[in-house]
Amino acid sequence: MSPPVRNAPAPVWLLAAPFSGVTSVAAMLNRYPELWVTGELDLLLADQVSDLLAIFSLSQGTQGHGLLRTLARLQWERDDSPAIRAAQQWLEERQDWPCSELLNFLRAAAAPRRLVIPERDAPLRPHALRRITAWTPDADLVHVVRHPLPQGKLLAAWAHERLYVPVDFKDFSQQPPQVDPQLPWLRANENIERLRRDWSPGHTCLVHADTTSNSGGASRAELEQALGLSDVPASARPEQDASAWWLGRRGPDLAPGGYEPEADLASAITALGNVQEWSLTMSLPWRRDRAGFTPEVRACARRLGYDEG
Amino acid sequence: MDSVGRVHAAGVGLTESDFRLTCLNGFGDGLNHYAHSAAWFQGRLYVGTSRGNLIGLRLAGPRKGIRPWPVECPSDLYDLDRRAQIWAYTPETDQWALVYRSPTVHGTNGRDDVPSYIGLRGMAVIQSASDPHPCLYVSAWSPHTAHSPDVLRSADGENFAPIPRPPFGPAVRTCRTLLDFDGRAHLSPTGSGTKKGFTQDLSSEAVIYANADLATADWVPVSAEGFGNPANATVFEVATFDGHMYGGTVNPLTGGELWKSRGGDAPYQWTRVFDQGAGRGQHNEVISALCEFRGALYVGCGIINGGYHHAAGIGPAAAEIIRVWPDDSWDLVVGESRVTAQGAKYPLSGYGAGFDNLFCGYVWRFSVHDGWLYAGTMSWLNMLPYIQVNAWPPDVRALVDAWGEDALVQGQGGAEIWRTADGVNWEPVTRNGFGNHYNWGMRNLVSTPHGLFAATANPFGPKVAVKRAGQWEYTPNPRGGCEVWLGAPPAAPAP
Repeated sequence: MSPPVRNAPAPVWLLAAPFSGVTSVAAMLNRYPELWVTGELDLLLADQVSDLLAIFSLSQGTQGHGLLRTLARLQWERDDSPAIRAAQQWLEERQDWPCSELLNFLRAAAAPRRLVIPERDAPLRPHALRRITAWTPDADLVHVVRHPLPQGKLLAAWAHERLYVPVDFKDFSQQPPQVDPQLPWLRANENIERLRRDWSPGHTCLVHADTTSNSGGASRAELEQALGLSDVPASARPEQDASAWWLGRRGPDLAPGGYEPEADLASAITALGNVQEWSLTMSLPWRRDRAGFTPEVRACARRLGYDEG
Repeated sequence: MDSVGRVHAAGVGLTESDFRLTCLNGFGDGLNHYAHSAAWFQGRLYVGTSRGNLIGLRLAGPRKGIRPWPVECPSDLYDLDRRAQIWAYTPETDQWALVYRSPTVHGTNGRDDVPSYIGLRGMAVIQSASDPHPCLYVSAWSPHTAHSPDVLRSADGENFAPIPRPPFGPAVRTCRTLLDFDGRAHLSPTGSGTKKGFTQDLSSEAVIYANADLATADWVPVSAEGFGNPANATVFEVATFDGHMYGGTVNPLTGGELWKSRGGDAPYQWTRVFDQGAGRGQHNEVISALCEFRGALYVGCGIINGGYHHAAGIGPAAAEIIRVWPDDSWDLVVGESRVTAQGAKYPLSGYGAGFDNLFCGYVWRFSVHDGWLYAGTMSWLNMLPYIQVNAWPPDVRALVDAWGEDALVQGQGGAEIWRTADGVNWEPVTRNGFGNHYNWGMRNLVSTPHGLFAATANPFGPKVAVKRAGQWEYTPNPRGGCEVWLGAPPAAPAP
């Protein structure tokens, strides 16, 4: 059994659509001494550790890497290959644990620091998000958003010529199905909006990853206030933040992932420009028909604070 | 909230442990492959069977890509007793009784032992104009060597007799759903056959017939052929919702369509709700199931022939659930995201096609029970050992290799039942045919005062092909043949 969690502060969930900057926000939060920021744990995918390990074994992506690296760091203060192997064995010895108990173990291990957990897969699935409510009803929710145009460009760049692209990223009205990032963007953000609607007021906030990295940016200040964080000087370059963080860069061969792949797309990020250049009405470069954003995406973007442009 | 604004609180949703088996092995005859129709009538559950479906398929002609054939087949179709049956279950006594067996007729092939009905594909309790009380009506499936398919009527659940049938063309072999709407009974042909072959999901005519008095032959067509679209090959399923009759089609060319009408004078005026498989195209070739729940119409979509229409090169692809609102707007509940004429759609449940199960060929049946919507599926995973998969897409092949074929079949074979109280949040009831991977389909779900009955399609009897020491052999299958399960919450303990 895991140590009691009663002395561990409630975690912070960073919830975002894919390629919406959750890693850059996580890296930024890693600079706060009262926080312990994990990799992408993927714990919300299952109720039991045994089922979670089965999902990881079948995954064609990097699911499970963040959990292994986080566990290795918390247990043995490193995430090299021997530590990763030890973390894998540790999990296999606890296959009968509920995933909620595994989360509590991680919380207790990080205490008195507060666990911050980035999640960009669970927001695509309401049944996964429901586990947040069931497991950590007292948590803080941070909804991390990025304008759908740069988000789409990054996702499209990552997916380009990739053999395996999750079905959630595709438009199945086209034959063959084509990657269309606005669909997972809309899906994740609306699911997060629904979760936040029912969440305890004062324990949820919205953060624009587009602006958190700017010195003196409003989103950073709001985040510090919302989470009650100490004042830490802002970084001028988001990619520097991400790569300076052990989970913001490639891990050992056994578990190289655990963070959002956009951190590997530094040149693509640089080419995105800034928020003033992004429009909700322009044609989309990744669509063969050059159609624009659907009305639902534009409406959601406006709700999240983006202008039509 | 339902279509008239009433809010229904959901009772306790059923879990797998709430279900118990009331009959197995096709009522003791493994040739009862499908519990193809079911209805609650006068305090009993009636089940109409279809017999030897998988055997008949093999004997109808060579089937590429399947070797060995999953069930043992005789060389002559007439070595089988294919006379369809009706069984009745009395919950108070937990007993099943055979109440009807198809007669035989002199067939066009000169034989005297041709079954009138080899399947009984639809049941409904309807009080037609001449009926003194609600009666049980059963739509039949007749071989091409017999007469046109009948509709049987029973006033007492013991005696069944055919009623005057619609003016079908000679190739019509079967109908499915019987629907009571606007003072008339409705049905549509859903299968065809000639001596050249048969297809149970494509009809020679895509028309809905209606009759206000089933004691008469006053059947009239109430829809144009294919609702005016020749690519609509069949009107496969019908239901009522929001004061309308809805009809869903099979359309191999562009994808299934959903139409609606307020009824009235024949022919009805029909409005198209969606076409092109609701933006998914051919992978929503068929509208397989319809059910009203909490103010919306839930629509099961998929591909005929278990999710792979081989002859037309459609699929394989897993099934979807869509829900349609009275204003014809629709949501994707389970399925594949896409940009459509109605904008961006993503699965509200979070589940991809087939509830994230690529082997889910259909959503075959819905039922509302105690405030919950239940969805029963069909899974072709159990066919995996018999299918030549070498030509499959690499990602499917990789998945099978990663899991292991045996582990997949034993652990995840079998149809599924899912439930929801709000239409968005779904939970599994069973994901493996109640532990019998031979139950490849939940063909009927029937809500009754005694609980929810789940009647399966299980064509893996009487003898199934099993591999032993590297060799295939046919062996008796005690878990082959349809099963009927009854789900009810446990009785409260006595005070």
